[in-house]
Amino acid sequence: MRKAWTVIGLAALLASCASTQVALAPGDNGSVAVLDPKTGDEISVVDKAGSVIFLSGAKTKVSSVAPADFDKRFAALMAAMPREPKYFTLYFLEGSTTLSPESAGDLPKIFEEIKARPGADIQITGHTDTVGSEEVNDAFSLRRAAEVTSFLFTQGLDKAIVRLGGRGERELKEQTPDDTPSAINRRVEVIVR
Amino acid sequence: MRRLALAALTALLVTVPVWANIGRVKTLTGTSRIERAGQKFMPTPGFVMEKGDLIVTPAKSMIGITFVDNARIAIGPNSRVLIRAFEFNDTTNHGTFVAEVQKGQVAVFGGLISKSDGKAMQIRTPKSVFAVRGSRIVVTVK
Repeated sequence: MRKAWTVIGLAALLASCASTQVALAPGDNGSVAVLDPKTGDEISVVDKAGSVIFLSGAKTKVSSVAPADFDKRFAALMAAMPREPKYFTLYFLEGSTTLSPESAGDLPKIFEEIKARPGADIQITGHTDTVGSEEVNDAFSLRRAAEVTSFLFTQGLDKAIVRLGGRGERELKEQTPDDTPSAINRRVEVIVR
Repeated sequence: MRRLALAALTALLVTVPVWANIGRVKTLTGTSRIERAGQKFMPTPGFVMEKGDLIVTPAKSMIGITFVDNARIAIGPNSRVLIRAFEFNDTTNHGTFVAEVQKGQVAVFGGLISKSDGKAMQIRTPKSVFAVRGSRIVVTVK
C-alpha cells in the first residue's frame, strides 16, 4: 500500500514538474504565440528564429540557441521529418482542357516523384482566372482538377492516393482585375507529398 | 473528356472518404504504433492518419507524418502525441489542427492551416498551449 502511494506521489510530482520547451528553428520566419491554457487568450508572441521558449502554464521565459547547436541537438529527430512536398503547375492550351506541351512534359516528372517517395500521396488542385462568379469558378476549378486527375488515372496513377480540390479564383498566379481572362491563372497545381 | 472527369470525380468521392484522411505516415524507424478507437496499428509508409489518432513511439522509434495541409511532423522516441482536432477545407485553405504532445519530443513544420489564422494550429502540452504560425519548431515535454 505504501508502495502504491509512493508511485502515485511520484507520478503527481512528475506531472507537476511537466515543463515544455519550444525551440524555433534557425532561419524560421514564422512565429509562436503562447496562449493562456484556461482562456485561450494570446499571452505573448515569439517570432525570432533560434528562440527557445520555456513554458509552464501561462508562465514563459525566452532564451536562444545558436544555429549549429540547434542542428546538432535535433539532427536525429530531423532525420525522421518527411521530405518537403514537391509542387508542379500544369497549364492548358487556350480555351481547352488539353495540357500545354511543356506541362505534358512534366507528367513523367510527377510519376517519378511519386515513385521516389515512400507512402506518397498527391493533391490535385484546380484554379481559374477571374472570368465568371466565385461560385461558378469554384465548381469549374474542381472540374479542371478532375479532368487532369482522370487523365493521370489513364497514365497509371493510383486512385487511392489522390485528393482533389478546387480553389476557384482565390489564388491568382497573376494579379488581375475581375473578369479578366488569364492563361497563367487557369492552371492545376499538383503537390506530391 | 468531361464525362470522364465527372466519372473520376464521382469515383473519388465514393471510394475515398477524404474527410477521414488527414495525412499519411512517411517515415518510420523502430516500432511506432497508432492507437485508434481501442485498436492498435503498426503503420507502414502510406498509412492513412485520422482525427483522434494517438501516436506512440517506444525507445529507439521515430515516425514522420505529412498532413493534407502540407504540415509535417517528426516524433522522436518515447513520445505520445494525440491528434485531438483536424479539419481542413482545401477550397479556402482554412482549418483547425490541435495536437496534444503528452510527452516526448516533436518537430513541427506548420502548413496551410497554421497560416490561415493566428490560432488555427495549436499544440497542447500537459500544462501549456501555444499556436504555431507558419513556423518550424521543436517541442520538448519533460
